[in-house]
Amino acid sequence: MDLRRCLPLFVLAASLLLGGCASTGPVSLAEVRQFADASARLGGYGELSRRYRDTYEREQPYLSPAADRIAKENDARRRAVYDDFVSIQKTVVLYMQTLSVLAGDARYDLSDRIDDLGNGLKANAESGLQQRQIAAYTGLTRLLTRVIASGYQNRSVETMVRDGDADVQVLLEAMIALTKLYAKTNDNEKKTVLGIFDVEIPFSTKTSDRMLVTLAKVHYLNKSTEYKLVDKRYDLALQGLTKVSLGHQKLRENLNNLHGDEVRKLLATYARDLTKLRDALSD
Amino acid sequence: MANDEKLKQDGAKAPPPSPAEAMSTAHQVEELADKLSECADSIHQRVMRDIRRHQGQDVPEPEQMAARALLNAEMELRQRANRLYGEAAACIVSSLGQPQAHLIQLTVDAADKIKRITRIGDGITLVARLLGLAAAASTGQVVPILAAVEGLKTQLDIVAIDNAPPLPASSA
Repeated sequence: MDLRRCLPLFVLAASLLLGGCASTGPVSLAEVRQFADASARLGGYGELSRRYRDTYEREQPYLSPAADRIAKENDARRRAVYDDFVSIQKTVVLYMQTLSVLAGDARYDLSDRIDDLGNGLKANAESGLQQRQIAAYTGLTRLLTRVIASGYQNRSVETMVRDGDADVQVLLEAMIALTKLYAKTNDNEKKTVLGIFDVEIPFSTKTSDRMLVTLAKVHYLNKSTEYKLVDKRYDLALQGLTKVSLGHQKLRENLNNLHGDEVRKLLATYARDLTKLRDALSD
Repeated sequence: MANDEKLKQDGAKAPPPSPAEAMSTAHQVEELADKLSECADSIHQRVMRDIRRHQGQDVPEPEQMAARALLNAEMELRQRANRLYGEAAACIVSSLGQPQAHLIQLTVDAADKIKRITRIGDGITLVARLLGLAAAASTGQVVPILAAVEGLKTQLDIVAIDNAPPLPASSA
């Protein structure tokens, strides 16, 4: 019997056995990875949490004794929960980093090993394998690695996103709500700091007050610039968190269609926007 | 007082609020704080209006005293508002233990899966077996062919197990 003739059958059998997974197409979760990476790296929240924690340090010199008593208590309370604020972010970042690893094909790039295999095949060519067969095996190798990898990765990403979405949304909603509270607290701090100058500068009309008034005006200018810049950061951070939340929601809605052009484009857009926001925050 | 104590005891026994409950409470507290902040803003506007009325002329001492007293009140209101913002924030985070624990568990599970993905080498081995089979087939010798078929079968089983959906926890 000519066993050479059986060979295509083995290949066919193996293809059939493994081919079932091939309907998902080649591994291409690059956009999921980009989105997860950009989400994990989004800045703003951490820095604004610290700023919130340190409110008292900045406002203390401007406070009346009565306000200072309350402010001191507020300071203690803010410091007591600061770790909780940070741990929310850490959890979301950890989740996004893991999602990025799961969706990243670079890490499981097997092309080097496939090339090794190809070289092995070439060496084998003399021992009876024909060129046509080598090509078939190399093709099969690529198919196998892609099929297996895509099956694993798709399922892992799917499971992670499906099981994680509800909690990710809760945590992002919390981060958004907290950032808004930080912003409102900052607003009261700003009005406390600048408010004194609004009132006291017009009262200081004596010639001997001149130097003091000049210094006060310079200080006021610096402070109001500082607060204007900070106000922008709350806005950027909120925009970013909202985008992460929306992007993850889209991911969840399109779990069965992660390879669709529209979904991929959408996720790529979110990733780009998030990177832009991150750049704006690091200015 | 008695009611207060009862509330405290109930609070100690009750499980943490759900994130949705906490968010709704936090919103109410935040709204109250917004009102206090708005009052502080109104006081400030009022003071500034009085000062502007003098159009750069000296403001009489009694009016200055009144303005400073109002400024102190404004400041105190802002601290009261910030206290409430802080309470709203603490309320939000008090409900997040569960979601955080769940997400961290998901990342632990994923790390396990990632380890298994690296066993993609199984796929490579499979191909190597297939090659062995092909080589054996080309020699036409029976023993190497049988050995190669056996190797292929084992490898296919391994891949099949790793690709199978996770077993229910009870049988693990």
